[in-house]
Amino acid sequence: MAAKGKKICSLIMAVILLLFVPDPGSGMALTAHAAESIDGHNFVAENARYALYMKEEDLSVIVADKQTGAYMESAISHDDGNNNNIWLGAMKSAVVLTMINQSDDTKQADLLNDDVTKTITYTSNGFTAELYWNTYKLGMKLEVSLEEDGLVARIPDDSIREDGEAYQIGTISIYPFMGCSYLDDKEGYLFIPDGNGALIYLDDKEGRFNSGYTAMIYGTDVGFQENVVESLLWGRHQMINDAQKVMAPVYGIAHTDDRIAYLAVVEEGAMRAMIEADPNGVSVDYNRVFAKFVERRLYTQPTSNNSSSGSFKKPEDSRSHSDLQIRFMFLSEDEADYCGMANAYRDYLMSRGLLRTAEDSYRTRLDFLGTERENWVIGTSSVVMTTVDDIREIYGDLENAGVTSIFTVYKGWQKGGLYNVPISKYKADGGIGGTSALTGLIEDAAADGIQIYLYNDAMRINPDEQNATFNVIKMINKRRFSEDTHMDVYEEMMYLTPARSGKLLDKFAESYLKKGVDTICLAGVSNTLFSYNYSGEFYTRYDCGESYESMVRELDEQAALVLEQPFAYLWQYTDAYLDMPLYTSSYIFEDESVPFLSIVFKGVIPVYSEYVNFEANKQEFFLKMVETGTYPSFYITKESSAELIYTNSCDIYSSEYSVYRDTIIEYTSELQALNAKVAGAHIVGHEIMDNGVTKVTYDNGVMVYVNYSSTAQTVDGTTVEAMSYKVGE
Amino acid sequence: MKKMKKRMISLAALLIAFAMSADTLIVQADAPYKTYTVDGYGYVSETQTAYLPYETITKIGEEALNAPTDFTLLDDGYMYILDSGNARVVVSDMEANLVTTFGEGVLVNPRGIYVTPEHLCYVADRDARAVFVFNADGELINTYGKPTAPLYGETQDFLPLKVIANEAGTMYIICESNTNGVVQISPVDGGTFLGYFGTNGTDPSLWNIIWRSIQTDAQRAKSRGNIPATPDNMAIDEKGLIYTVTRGEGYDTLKRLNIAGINMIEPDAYEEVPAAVAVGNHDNVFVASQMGYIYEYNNEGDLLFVFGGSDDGQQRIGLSTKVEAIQVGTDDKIYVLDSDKAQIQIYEPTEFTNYLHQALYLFSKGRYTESKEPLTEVLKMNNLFDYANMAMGRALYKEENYHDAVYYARLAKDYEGYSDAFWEIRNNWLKHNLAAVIIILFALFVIKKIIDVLDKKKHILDKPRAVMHKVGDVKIIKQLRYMFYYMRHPIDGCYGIKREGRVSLLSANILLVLIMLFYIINKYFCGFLMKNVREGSYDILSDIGFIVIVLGLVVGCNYLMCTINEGEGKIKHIYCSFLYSMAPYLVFTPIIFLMSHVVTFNEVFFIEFAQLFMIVWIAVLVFIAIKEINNYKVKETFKIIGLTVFTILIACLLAFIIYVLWSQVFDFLQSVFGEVVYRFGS
Repeated sequence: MAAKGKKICSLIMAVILLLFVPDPGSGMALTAHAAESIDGHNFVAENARYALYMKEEDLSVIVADKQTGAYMESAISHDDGNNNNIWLGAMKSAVVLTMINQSDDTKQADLLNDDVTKTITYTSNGFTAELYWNTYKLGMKLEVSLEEDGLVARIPDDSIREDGEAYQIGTISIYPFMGCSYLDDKEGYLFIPDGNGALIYLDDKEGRFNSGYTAMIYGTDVGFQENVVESLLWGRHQMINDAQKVMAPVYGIAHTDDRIAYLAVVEEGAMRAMIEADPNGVSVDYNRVFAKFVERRLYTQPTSNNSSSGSFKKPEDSRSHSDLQIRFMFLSEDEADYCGMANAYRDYLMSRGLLRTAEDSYRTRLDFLGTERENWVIGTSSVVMTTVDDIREIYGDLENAGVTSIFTVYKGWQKGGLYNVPISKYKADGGIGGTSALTGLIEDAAADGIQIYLYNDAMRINPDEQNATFNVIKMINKRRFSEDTHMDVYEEMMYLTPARSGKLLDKFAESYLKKGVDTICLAGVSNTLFSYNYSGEFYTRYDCGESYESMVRELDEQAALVLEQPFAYLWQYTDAYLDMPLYTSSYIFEDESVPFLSIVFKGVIPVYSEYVNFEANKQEFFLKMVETGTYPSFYITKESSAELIYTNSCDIYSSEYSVYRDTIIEYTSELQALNAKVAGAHIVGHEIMDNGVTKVTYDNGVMVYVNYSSTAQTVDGTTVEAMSYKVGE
Repeated sequence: MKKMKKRMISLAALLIAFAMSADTLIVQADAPYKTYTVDGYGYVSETQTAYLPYETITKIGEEALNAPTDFTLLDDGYMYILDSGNARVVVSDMEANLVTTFGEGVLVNPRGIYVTPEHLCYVADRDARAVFVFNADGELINTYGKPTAPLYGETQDFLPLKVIANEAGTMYIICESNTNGVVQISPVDGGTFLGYFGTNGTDPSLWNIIWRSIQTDAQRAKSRGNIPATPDNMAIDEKGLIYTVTRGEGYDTLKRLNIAGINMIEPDAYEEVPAAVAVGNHDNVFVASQMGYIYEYNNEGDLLFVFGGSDDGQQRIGLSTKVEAIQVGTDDKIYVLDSDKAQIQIYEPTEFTNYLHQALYLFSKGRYTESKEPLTEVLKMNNLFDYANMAMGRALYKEENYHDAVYYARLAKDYEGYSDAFWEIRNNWLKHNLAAVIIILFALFVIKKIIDVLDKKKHILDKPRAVMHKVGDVKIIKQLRYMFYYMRHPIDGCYGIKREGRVSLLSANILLVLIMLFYIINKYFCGFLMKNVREGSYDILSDIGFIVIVLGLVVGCNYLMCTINEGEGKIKHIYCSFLYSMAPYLVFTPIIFLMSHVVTFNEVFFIEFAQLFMIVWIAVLVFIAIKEINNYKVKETFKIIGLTVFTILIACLLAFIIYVLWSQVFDFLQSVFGEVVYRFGS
């Protein structure tokens, strides 16, 4: 039956396509004219390229490309007969809610199955709809407008009403099926922001997957720490790596056969939203990706310290407050792919000042570890790994070998070593040579064109070294949050409240800037967001994000900042992107890993990789850097990393300078030459071929061919050796 | 929907398409799992990714698998998969193209398969109660049923689960609920039962023996520990050695059995629920757990890597649900069969692992100098990698570079290697410095003689001697010096403590502090070979706490018992006499401490002897102290010691009960309070 249905469906789609897709030759001659209606949706508004259609029943929309006739719809247009009403409601409605009723958070509300009062007003470029669910006494206003660079769907925070006692809003999804397709009816892919970027092809998955991608934008919330089932080896050791955090609030769909795509940017409410991507076969046979805004969650409130003895589930007292807004940026023809999405996203960021151009010349990143601590009879003793003089020596040695463009983050420079955090004063550890020696080094290096940034994790506090009785966060269940390091010297870390982080950072910056140096590398605050309780008040991720942003903004005005793996709302303050992931989390449903973020940043700010040290396949990692235009990073110590064996940094199993010297020189000479050719250029084309070669095209005409296969391959008349790359023009 | 889900088409189809157009496609992926290794202390530490997920085979040609339970990978590139759900054997090439299927209609519930390099295929069929042998064309050529030999056991059922065969064609069969061991059947005369092989032992611990002696026969028959566990799976290597894995056998989980059934491997880590074992190409062994963890050992049983993990809904590549079999390809790729997912997951070794394998191979062949090159690469990438450090140390030792050998051996906690290298260093030192040492000793002797002579004639030492006497006469010093007297004359010594006030609480407390000091110094700073604690770990507070609690318990309980048994001792006297009885500890520990820095395993006897001597001495002193202080007879003393031990046990039990009760009460109150606050407070 299903197969038959599929065939019929394909047939219908083909007919529709024939009707709407003009012959490419003659299509261009057509003037951009919008049709009256498509598939029961009536014309509402248009911009230069696209037309918006809407169906009042469920407020579903269709956005059509006036030139090619290709369109994307926010509701399924064909029912394969396998879906119940609940699913049909979810697949067609413009707004889908989940509600919380006591400790049940699974009930759904939509525009079709429920008694909803809709008041629709048409505006110059779209419509607004006042929605009220009479049964549940919930209301909100949906505003949809077609702007020049995309379709904006918005629910203002002050329009959200919860009048009843019984039902409260859990999550809100706006146009969850935007761009959906049935099984393999369309060619193309879902784009998800996993790692650098990942694609899920729109082929028939044949029911292989029973769940899809779900990830909180900007990482999970430690304030809601839950007992997740862990896969532990011998009951102790975590075996599975954390999934990559979502750095940017984006997702998209491309229909490559129709040459239409969109990139959705969650513009407001992203700090408390999730991205879900489900290929066909996950509950229903439609491919979809969408953002789900979290207004309120259930949490587990234990009633005693002994976790087994008692707890109950409870919703948050009040919902979080933020406008909810998604911008669907539609892309057509040559731009309708992930590379086009990345370029559109970059234009979007640059035009709004959310990303700024920084000095982008090639540099090799050499991070140094200053001092660490190991246990001793009484307290801890210092393990000095790289002193100021060692760094001078290493710079000198590299300069002789021709490596001069260096970027450095100095970790563990502060008194008391790497984990004596937070840092509230500019005071270097005596072991590395002291404060004035460090200042001297930074100044001398700057004169030689080498940038040294001092590493500062402004978020964590080490309760073994500093007083963590006050100013640390508690989770929503009012339990103090602590992060297990799984190490022997310092077993746990806690998080400072954002206010405290800001205060300490100010103090540090003041004493630092007084010395005439101003280069700071911020970590922790750059890529963590949490809800928290502090002295009886509950703060949401929005509060945390705002505090962090204003803190970073203020610091950026006084100092030169680089941020470690920063989230999108901080990109405008960083001079470089550190620790760019080059892979994804390797979900089984992901078909391809694409360098989305790298394309966004290439030619705008320098992007540095994660540490080369810890990569098991060095050559492949090197090629990845070539492909993405990423600059290499090394974590370097003067002493052998074996010295770190009894410290909290015992996971640094390889870092000695003498081991990496040759690699640094080799990588620098190759990557410097390569990046000189593409300096300031953007990536405009990225193609992954079947033979294992990836072709990257820059807007200055340079093409880079990277061959990941184990045999030589010829592409465009260029032969690329196995596991190697070639630059063409 | 259901129908659609059933139609399992695979990712393999896509991959094959790629594989056809390119020779091999290297999948670029980051492993979602961590890789660990075990250090010399048995501590687990993270290392580079050893194997990356490479490819997933979910279909052979167009044939979907249904609950496959076993497979064999041949060196010539053929894969025989036991498609148990469909009761057949599926033969595939390395690109997952279907070659043939056979066994339909013959097999009932096949569970194990073994294929010889000549493509002779053995299938263990549980429900058919037989082992079937197929030739290369898939024709049934032999069937072996339940052995008729009386030795097999008449009531014993024959439910074959796994089978392997050696070059001579002798089959080794694991049977369900047959606890005698692996059934060994020779192909002669249509199947001759040769006996049982590789039987696991039972647990003959003291506790079990005591427990058994008080059980009834019925209970004894039921008790689990007395039935040897049946191996779960096995593998055979080129030399005909048989590897078995058995769950719940602790360090005997993995065994390498020679022809006589003797175990020749001692793993330093084990898996609770092993599913399968495979032999690698570099004298290495792989064990897969049902959960999806994959262990790689070297030929001595040192754990090199453990990686992988179970998929509890994470949906990440390379995680498994229910592993049934593991095989290793000639190119070192690992093939893992997952019956739940009905797929074969292939993992490929990383650069790091390739270097390690090279080193492993050279090292096991005794080519130490050559092995240094790949070892250096391994250590460059991870200079905390234990096996590499150990091998490097041994290699350097062979090259007579003892100083570096000691360094690496210490990093790797390779005590043997350290001892050997240190012996050489010490030997060299002695060779070079023996003359000097003798001269210095002689010079010292001469100087002493001269001083003695001068002293006799001109009394030059009178002044220092006077000072010494003066210091020695200070009360507290005198009390402390009493220790030496007490050691040699405990009976008089006790009299001194009891009647003459030769010691004070202060002096006893000073001794206590000294004991603690010596204990801590000796524990953390003794020679590497004698060290019992992990390097870099210090736990002074609990050391001190331990000493204080033990002393308190012993003194307290002993005093309690003595007071009700007409003992004369006051608590002060008991306390002091006990501490003075520890005097040998203070005398011997410095000697042991110094010796620990210079001995190797060859001379460790001296230290052990000194320790034993010290303990016996202390025991004698304590005994005499109890006897004399309380004025007991020998018999009474024994009684008191017994009572004291009993009291200590009772005290511990009491403390435990109070702790448990209080924590319950506390927890309860807290729960009530917490719930009230959270329910109504907000």
